[in-house]
Amino acid sequence: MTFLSPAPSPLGSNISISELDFSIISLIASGTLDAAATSIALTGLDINSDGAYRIHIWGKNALNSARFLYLYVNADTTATNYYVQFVRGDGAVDGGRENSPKIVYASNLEMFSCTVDVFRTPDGYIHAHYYNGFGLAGSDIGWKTGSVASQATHANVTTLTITADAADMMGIGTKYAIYKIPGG
Amino acid sequence: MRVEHNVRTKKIRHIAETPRAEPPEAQVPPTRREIYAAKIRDAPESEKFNVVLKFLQLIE
Repeated sequence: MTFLSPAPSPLGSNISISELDFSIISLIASGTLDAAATSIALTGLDINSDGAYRIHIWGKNALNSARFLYLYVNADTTATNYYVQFVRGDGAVDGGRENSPKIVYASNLEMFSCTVDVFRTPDGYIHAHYYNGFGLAGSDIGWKTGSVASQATHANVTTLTITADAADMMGIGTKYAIYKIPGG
Repeated sequence: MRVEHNVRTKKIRHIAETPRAEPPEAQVPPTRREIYAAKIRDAPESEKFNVVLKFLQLIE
């Protein structure tokens, strides 16, 4: 019996952690809310060095009303400084464009999950593409996907803030994680 | 509450925060089903059948 050897790595047989870190998507921070929160700010970022970012957030809307989460870049927390184009499926399908950085939709007291990829384009505008599931279980599932773009340019991305449109919307146990995606 | 998580230092701060005012566009957009339910409700009696027919064609 002959066993085939894997192809030699272009990095050689002794791959260092730093070389590996350059070549894979890697977790740079994560957490779980131990109390309901209105916003989560991820600071200390450097998109020019890191490449791009992926954020995962999954949890529960703690409020008895349908709510949204917004994604803000650096200190620009004015909703109208962003646009979002989205498609939503919730039994029927609809969509639209809004003058805000809206990402997550969450039904009242129900679950939500979202993946967001964040990029700084060569001209310095920020693009973020997301997909968002919402609902409780089974046939209650809904789906939203879209792209956010900043109206202003940013020299770097050092802070990304996810903010709810009502106080303490993100319930206890809501989890988040941010990964850096090497490239460029 | 606002959670500030510094990805470099790994420090997490919890800060009391006044909630942001809800932007006007934060209302839940109506679904197509809700839009057509309103159209059927508001249509004149003579047009109701056509509105229902169009809706059925859309969701097929």
